[in-house]
Amino acid sequence: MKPNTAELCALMAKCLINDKIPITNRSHVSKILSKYGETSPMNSQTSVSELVSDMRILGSGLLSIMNSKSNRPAPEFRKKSRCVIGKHLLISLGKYGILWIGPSSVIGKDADISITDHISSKHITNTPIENIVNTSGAGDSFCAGLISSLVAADGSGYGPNLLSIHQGMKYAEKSLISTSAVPK
Amino acid sequence: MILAAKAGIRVFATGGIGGVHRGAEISMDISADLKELSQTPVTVVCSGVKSILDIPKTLEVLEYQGVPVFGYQTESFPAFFTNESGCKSPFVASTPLEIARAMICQYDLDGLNGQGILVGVPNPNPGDTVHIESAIHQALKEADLNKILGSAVTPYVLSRVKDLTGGASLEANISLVKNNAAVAADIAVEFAPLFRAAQEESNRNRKQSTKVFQSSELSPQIATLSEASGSVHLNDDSSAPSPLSSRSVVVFGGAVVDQMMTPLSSQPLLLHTSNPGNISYSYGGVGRNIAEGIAQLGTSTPYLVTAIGNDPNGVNLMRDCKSKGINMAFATQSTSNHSTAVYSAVHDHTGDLVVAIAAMDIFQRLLTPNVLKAQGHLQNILKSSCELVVLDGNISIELFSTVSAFCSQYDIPIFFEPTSVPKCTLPIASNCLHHVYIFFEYRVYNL
Repeated sequence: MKPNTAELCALMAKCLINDKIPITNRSHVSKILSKYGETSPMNSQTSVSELVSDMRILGSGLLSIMNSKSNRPAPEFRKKSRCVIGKHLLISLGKYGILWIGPSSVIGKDADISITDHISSKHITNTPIENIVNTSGAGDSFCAGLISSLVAADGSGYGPNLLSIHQGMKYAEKSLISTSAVPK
Repeated sequence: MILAAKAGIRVFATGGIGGVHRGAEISMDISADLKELSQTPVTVVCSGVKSILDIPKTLEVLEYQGVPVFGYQTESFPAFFTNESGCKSPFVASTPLEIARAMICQYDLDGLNGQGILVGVPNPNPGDTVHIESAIHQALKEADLNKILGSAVTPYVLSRVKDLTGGASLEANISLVKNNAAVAADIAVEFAPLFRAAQEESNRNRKQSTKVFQSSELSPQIATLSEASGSVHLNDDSSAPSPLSSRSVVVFGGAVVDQMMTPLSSQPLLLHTSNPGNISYSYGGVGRNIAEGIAQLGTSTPYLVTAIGNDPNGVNLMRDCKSKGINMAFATQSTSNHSTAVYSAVHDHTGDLVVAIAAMDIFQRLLTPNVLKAQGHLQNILKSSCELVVLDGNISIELFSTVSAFCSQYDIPIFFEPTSVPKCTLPIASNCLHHVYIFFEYRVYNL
């Protein structure tokens, strides 16, 4: 497992443990912390599905903190002129796709799994790309693609939604096969 | 036409325009359309005037009013139900681009008038034409007999003609309007980029002539800013209107010059000595990359609020960003010795990173709350056209806090991209995690 992945998991777990907001699966998070933390060697046998499932737990903890201190009456409240409903966590797993953790009301029936009453998660895989030229800028291109799609969504869907995530991934693919960071 | 001009719509498609009536030398019945064409800068695409009107007199009045009239791919002046009126069009244009160029000439010369574009009726059936013409003559006779006068004539005649031709005239009418709309659309498509360029040109010319006054007004403000933070805010000509879109996205983040160094040989790199190779430059920075992508995709206008140094890298970076459609009106330039951020990386021949140095100090120094507090115009953009704010991990904790509070107050969602793993804690450290709407993490590489 690459250092960044373990580092990220450990960091998220640490934040969750330290924060005073109670999270439902504190023991789970502690287990993850010990798996990826500095005290134990990085487990290179971790499979994609195990990583995804760990990320779902960490991510939902993070998201519940993002939701909990909100001064909005409900996370789903949104003024029509702006393009996002609720709080969302998007984790790119490189070639293993995107893990989306967000409000159940937005992810809806597309969810793989409902983590709590309000939070669902969906893992979106991408088609493998043969001729990758340069990975730099792929994440930024994903963001640009996603954001452009959200902003264009004239009220028909406040995202992130599946469409905007797919648009982001399409644009990121273009970046991967291009020598420049942002595709022309 | 007046409403179109007010809305900034420059090309107008219709079936036919009004003209000079037969017997106008006695009745003085001349359509207001002809006057409007002389004083409103809208190009009207039509199929001429109805043959019940006096076409030669109409052409004379248009010429008197200084309205250029082009036959589009036709030399003759169409008469709404027919293409042959017996009159010729004063000018001929064969492509939409020619017409667009003529419109630009008029704009450059500050002309107030519009243009008339005459489009022939599509697929005129000679049989139908004769049929319709005779119906028109009959209807005119009937109008005379029934003492129908003035503005009531045209609706009466049209209605009678429709009845006499069994509705064929209405079908012909509809198909020619659709055809005119298609031509008008082609003209508008050619005109839009030329017009944008012409507008920017004239804005630039205007700015130059008033530069002296502007700088003396601004200098006390600049002096204060320099004392406080060692930087100046650049309210330059890129803050002038004509954005890509009325929606905007404001990105607070880093703009970096990337320097990639690769060896020529496939042998392992020799340390503590020089290895022959290539050094290439490109522009990066998470915030800047996202802004560039948004500009490329064109659904909104990106504003990049970043910090650059007062050095050649900064100048080039600025120019490059603007050329890509990123609005740099709110970027901050250092007036002291902060250098533009540079990321210098040595790769081996396989492309793996060997070592890199990231000189990004400028962002911590200059991307501070002042960047938002001191730029009222930026605050206005945020409150009005901004759909989303992007923050990357390069900004200072204090700015993160300030922007979060502002966005929370004005209901603007925040998209956070941490840039590096340690920076994931930025929202937590500034106690603003609950202000973030979309938290994106791209640090998880392949297993």
